[in-house]
Amino acid sequence: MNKHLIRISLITSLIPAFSWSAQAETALEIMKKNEEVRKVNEFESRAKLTTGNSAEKTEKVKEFTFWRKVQADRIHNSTLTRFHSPAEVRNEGILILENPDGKNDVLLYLPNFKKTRRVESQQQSGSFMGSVFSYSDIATPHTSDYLYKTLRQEKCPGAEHASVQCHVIEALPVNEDVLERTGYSKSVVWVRTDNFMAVKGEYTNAQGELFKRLEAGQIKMVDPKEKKWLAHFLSIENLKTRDYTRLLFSNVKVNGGIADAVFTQQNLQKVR
Amino acid sequence: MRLYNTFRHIGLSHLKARPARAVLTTLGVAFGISLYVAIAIINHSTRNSMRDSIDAVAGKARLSISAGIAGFPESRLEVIRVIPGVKSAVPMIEARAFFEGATESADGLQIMGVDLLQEASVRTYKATDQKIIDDPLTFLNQSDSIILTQALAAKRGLKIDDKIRLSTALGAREFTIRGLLEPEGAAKAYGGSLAIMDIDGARVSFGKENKLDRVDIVPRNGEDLNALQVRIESALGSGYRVERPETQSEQMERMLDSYQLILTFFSSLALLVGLFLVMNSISVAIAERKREIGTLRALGATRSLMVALFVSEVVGIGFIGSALGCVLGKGLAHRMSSQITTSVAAQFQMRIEISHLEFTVSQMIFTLLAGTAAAVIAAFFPALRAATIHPLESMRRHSESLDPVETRRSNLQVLLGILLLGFMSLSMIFSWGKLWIGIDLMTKASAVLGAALFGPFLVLGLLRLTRGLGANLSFPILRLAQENLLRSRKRTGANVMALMVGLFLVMLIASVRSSFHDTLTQWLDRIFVADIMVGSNGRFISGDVQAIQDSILPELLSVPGIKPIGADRGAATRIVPYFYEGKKMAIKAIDRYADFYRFQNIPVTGSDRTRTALDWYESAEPAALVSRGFLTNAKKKVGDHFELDSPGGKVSFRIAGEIVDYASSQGVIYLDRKVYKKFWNDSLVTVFVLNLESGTTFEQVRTEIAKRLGKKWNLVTISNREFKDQMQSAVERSFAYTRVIETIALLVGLLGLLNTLLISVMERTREIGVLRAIGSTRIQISKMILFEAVIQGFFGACVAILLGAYVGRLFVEYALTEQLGWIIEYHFPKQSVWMTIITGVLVAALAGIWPARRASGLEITEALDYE
Repeated sequence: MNKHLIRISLITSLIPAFSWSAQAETALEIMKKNEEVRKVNEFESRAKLTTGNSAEKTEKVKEFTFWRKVQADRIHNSTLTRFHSPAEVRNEGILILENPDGKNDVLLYLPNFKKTRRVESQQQSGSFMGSVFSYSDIATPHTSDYLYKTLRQEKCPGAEHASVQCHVIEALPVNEDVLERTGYSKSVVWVRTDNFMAVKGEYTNAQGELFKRLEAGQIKMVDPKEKKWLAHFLSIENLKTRDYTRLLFSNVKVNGGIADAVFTQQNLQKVR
Repeated sequence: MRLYNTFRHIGLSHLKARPARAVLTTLGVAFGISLYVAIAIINHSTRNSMRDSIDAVAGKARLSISAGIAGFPESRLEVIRVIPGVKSAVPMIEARAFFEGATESADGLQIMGVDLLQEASVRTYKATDQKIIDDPLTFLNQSDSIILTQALAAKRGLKIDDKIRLSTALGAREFTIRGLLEPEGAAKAYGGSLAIMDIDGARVSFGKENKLDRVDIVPRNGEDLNALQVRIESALGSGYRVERPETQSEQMERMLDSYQLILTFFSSLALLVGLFLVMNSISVAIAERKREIGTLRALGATRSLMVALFVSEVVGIGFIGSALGCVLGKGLAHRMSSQITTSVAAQFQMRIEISHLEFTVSQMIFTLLAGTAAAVIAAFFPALRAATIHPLESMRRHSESLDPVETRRSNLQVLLGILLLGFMSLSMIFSWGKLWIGIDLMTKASAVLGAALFGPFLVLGLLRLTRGLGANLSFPILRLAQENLLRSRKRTGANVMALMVGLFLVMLIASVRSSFHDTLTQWLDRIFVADIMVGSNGRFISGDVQAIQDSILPELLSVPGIKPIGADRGAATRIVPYFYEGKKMAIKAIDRYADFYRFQNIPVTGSDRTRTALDWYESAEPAALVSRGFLTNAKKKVGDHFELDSPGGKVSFRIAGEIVDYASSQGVIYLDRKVYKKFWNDSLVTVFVLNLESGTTFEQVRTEIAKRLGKKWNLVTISNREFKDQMQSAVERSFAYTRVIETIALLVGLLGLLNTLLISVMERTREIGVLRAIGSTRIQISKMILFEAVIQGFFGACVAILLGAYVGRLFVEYALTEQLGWIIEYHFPKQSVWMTIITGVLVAALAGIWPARRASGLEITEALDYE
């Protein structure tokens, strides 16, 4: 479930904002466009989350439904995830409500205990539910959280995007709070020049070590009218532990009319 | 330079000429130091481990909130979270669990039920594979999820995804290991005997739904902790303890202080025996070298040079002995640590797992210096005496018995011994040690020094008393041995002193052990009158048992052969620790079944049992029976009122009477379980006591309980006899460590006696030569020396029994009450009397073998030529 969030955040986190050099405005502009093209007003999908370790050759699969809606302020998102399988996690749900102050409310519903638990904000820079994604990956990063710099332009990485050029943009956290929340001291993202979707990200931890790599694929336009895009496949790897997480979206429905009541604690606790 | 030359040419040559003496003295110092070092290491490591555990569990928290074992409502967390200054308030459930079949505390597990979604803000954990939990979604949603420490898993051969069965409040439960922790952060606590669960899972498994045991507070940066503490206290009201982690540490350390002081006292005794050995060795060496001293003095050697010469001979012995003692002590600490933690657990209901034994370089350097200095000090006084001998006197040969100076010294020694014993007695009786720790230390030291100085006088007295007996026995060698001992009082005194102090220590410890054992056994016989006891896994004897729901009582009573007790048929007891004004006490909440036993199970003292018990049960206001420890610590008397913090607020209790109970030395509070349940909302039970129908055997009932309820609840059924046996072995285990102290003290005593016997044989070479020349055979000489040793061992043991029992009595009746809070009756250790005598004789005989062989091996001509 987190994984959905994750992918979104991934994409967003690949993106950072703002620069201070002559190129700065360009970099910020690129990232703003990136944020804009992936901001789907409403979005519902089935998803498959696969976690494993490339050294141990073990994999676990979880399936869930994912709902997301842009809040009234047109900036922040509300996200709900409901798990279907395996049996041990059936009906577990995660509700993420982004707040203007940057501190997100993350609520986890545990059906076996019929209880909703809050994920403390300090916990949100840690691993999200055992996946390679962190809570901060899941929450949508905003351009104002970063200082951006265009490093170069080059051919996009990966066979799927080989024919397209990418902006390579470096993002640095704008302050200590952002660093603490995300755990990243630096991010480098590859943003396609044609549709401004991020296709790759590399993340450096607080100790200055490169430790995560994200790749996005199956990028499709999901809302032709509004020109919104969605990466249907995300893959992130922890380069130190060799743990990986893959997220695949299917049955994507856009702007089908999701009520605000979906993103409430009451709904989170409703077991279908 | 002058000293160096004197040492090189005289001191060193003596050491070389008497290697056995040097080795024995060194070993004596080494053994004495080893025990001291071992106890110092254990004491230091125990405190460190305790502090580490508290710090590890506290993590980044600067305050923690608790409300006793029954916990407090979960809803209070929201109140705490909004208190200004609170950055994070992280809840926890604490519980004990036991591996299936556990009968020892070592098989227990401390469960920390934590909110894993908030833990990062207060505590850190490190997993073996960098992820604590492989799948948090599964972990959090399954109540059987558990994380063990790597150390515990390795000890039990467990791995991730393995299942373990633990006794919980809801019976036997299966848990799945879903994570392993490296020994870092909180996982270092409790010596690794720790399991982490998610808080909801822990609540369900341990019967603590909607409750919290503890909330850890991380304050906002720059927050004034005192002000925050006050805000929290006023927001929560009474019934809650808001503490800093360091306060918890200090409280625990205060509890340990007295206990560790007693351990140090015992270990110091062994060291003292070692130092006596040094003192004796030098004293006898001085006697042996009296002519040499006279010659040196006549040649112009100053008194200070003489002192320096003898002291310098001991420096090497002290240093090497101390170094050897450090090595031996470390090994000994490994051997004794678990015994001492067992003893601490029994004394204070405090589980301490020593994570590692620490002996720092600075401690080692200190020990080396202190050991050497102590040996030098021990040698200094005899050396000073040597220096004061006039050259003319040194050259003169005369009988010791006629020496008025020696006689005066001997009398002074006896007087000093009596004065020290007198001071010790008064100090213990009037608790002078409370005034200043220095007086306490002096009191304890006086007991040993007094016994050491006065003891030889008593031995000589006994020898004189039995003089005629030897003559009547027509056993000339025995008589000769007896006469020899009486003729050389100083030598006999020196021989006896080291062994006697060792035996004195044995008797003192035996007095304490026997008093504990007999007092507890007699108390149990009086109050534990039920046929059987039923509980879950754990140690019944200490109450460290997995508590279970009282709802199983009807099921228990339906077992054929079980006879209900009391009007409510209920016979449950709940034992919980309770902190009253910083002292760790115990609450015993007991069902009313006392009427059935005519109140025999309520150990009321100082008033009519039945009337007091009825007053307690039937009081209109909440009433309690309390132990002497409570009355002393709370400064209350019967009839007074006191308040206890319950989850619902403070409850005032009237003290209806005084009871004798050994659940806690600091204080025990008896409550009617109905009253306890009402105020603490805790329906768990530590143990059920039940009777058997006539014609039913215990084994039948045990089998039936196991069949019907055993699997589901992990129930353990024990008989009245088994419980009392457990108590006996618990007392034995509590004192197991003292065996090592006794052994070391005896070993040092043996070395001391061996050393002085060897020296005395050497000193009497000429005398032995004369005996041989007038017809004594080698066997007769050998027997004579052995008899001398055995007689000294026997009478040394007799005097040790006398003095050990006397000091033991004072120790039990005054010092233990004063320092540990235990109020126990003195019981003379009858069974130890023969053991002490036999040990004394055997040790003396063993020490006499070598000198006897040596004496019998002397050639007549050489012996007669000996100067």
